[in-house]
Amino acid sequence: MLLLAVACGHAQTDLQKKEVYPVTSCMGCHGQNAMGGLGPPLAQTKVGLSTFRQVVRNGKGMMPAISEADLSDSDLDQVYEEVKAKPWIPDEIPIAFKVGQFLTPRSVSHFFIVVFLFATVFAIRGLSYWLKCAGLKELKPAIAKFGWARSFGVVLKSLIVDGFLVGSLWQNNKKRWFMHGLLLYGFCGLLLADILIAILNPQRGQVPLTHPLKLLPVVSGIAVLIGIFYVMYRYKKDEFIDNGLTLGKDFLFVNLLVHVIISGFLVVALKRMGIHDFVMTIYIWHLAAVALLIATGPFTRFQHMYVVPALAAMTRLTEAIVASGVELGFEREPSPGRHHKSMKIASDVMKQLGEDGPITMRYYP
Amino acid sequence: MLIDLTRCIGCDACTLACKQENGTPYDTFFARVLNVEAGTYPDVKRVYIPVLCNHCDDAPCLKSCPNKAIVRRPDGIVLVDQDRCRGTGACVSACPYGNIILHREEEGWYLDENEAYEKDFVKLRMKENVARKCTYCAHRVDQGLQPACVVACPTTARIFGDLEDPESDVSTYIEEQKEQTGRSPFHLLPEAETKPAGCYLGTMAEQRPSTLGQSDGIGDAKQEEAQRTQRGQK
Repeated sequence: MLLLAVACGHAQTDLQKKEVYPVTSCMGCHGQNAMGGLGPPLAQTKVGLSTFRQVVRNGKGMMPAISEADLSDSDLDQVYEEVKAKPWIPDEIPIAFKVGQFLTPRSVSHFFIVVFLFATVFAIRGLSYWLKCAGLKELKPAIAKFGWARSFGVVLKSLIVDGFLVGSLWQNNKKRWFMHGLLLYGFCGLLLADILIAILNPQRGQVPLTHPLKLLPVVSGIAVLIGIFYVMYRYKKDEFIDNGLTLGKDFLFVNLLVHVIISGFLVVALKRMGIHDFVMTIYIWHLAAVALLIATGPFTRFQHMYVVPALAAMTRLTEAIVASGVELGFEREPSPGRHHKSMKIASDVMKQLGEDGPITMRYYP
Repeated sequence: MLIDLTRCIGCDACTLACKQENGTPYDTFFARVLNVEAGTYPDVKRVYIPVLCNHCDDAPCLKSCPNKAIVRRPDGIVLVDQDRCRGTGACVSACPYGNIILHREEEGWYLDENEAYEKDFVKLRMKENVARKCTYCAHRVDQGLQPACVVACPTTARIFGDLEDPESDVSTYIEEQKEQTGRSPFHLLPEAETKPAGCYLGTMAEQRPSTLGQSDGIGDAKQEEAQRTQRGQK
């Protein structure tokens, strides 16, 4: 997620006699008549001068800290007097602020925790379906013989090589790997940036664009944008793209990701350009797109991020177990590596035929 | 495809016919026959379960493929595109029936690579390091032929056709069996919710091996009772 960063304009302190408020950067967020915009209304403020000073100097929530270089102490006091004297015009309170006032960092993070939990529950449900397909339960005795630690090593290696590094693409098609990498690593970059920003919590308005915490999400965002536009282009020309089962889900994921990235960039760009009017609306659009992307994740193409590595890891684990020659009670199996699934089929058939009891599989009788 | 388990004698002719038709290398079996021994002595029974790709309607392999290399033809046959497959191996685990095969190590071939059969027919369809599976012999079906395993089955345990067409061999056989033996077809692992195209008819023999030759066997008991009531009526 790209987060708010409010750029500070330069207060022009040479206009001492005139009103200071209209020429400060305050107006950008708090509105022409101090009736609010991105920030809350300041007209008729009930806040005391000392609190006012403290908030301006230290920042609060999305409000950036404003240093003495940008707004002198005397100007600050004057701004306070000016906005306190401004008339209260309820009609001028913008909708963006009415919605925006609920968007405190706390409420937003609580909302996302709920969305994330929702997605996690369904993701685990989905993953357990796939692991059931892979026959994890039936493979357990073989894994136990093979060694749990050794199995864990095989799985971890596969998750890194086949999953994170996308080994199969690297081996077969470097260009495809690169385009896929733009999306994968760009997405990881955005995720990492979010986590770092949440932990380090810098005053983002004060952070220059070249700061790593700014650079990381911007570069990652550009990578994802290029990647996703390439995917959309491929959807146009690739005749294989519709496999009859997943196309709608693929489209939903791609479109949501486009919304997330474009709205995120718009928020940053508009703020850098000092156009604050639509920032809150676009920011809400951005948050909604991110929430939808996460919430629909377990049902869209998003799920291939954890399903494919998990299934590939299961395949590698089965291969490793077969290669190690762990004794399964038979000498040789046609197409090695599927005994556990064959046993599942056999016991299922016997159950459907009404024959409950132990079964034994014979190969090459 | 319908497989009648009562008819299957476990001869593995289908396994061989498939290998011969598709020229699969060692350790690659599109069609297998599971030899299952069920029960404890003396109530033991051997059941042969021929398995092959079920060409599911809701195919997990197709959904799991990250490269969209698995396609479904309009007639329902699910194929792995050998050119698009990158050998990720997700489908191998995704198939609950274990009917997708991917070998990453060097493969052994039965014939010399320069033999015309290998060079012009087999190797073109058997690329290395990619996933493979039963194609329902799509190349034969396209020519109006039946899959090799179906043709080879000496007891006609396999019946191939369009389940949606009420006039097809498979539909009429199912109807016939419903009337004559009361059996209706079932699918493998229904809880996987894959809607398989392949279905099975169960075994019919009700008598337990341990009661063979005795008069208290289930079948015999029923017969005797019928005879007794007949005698009583007389």
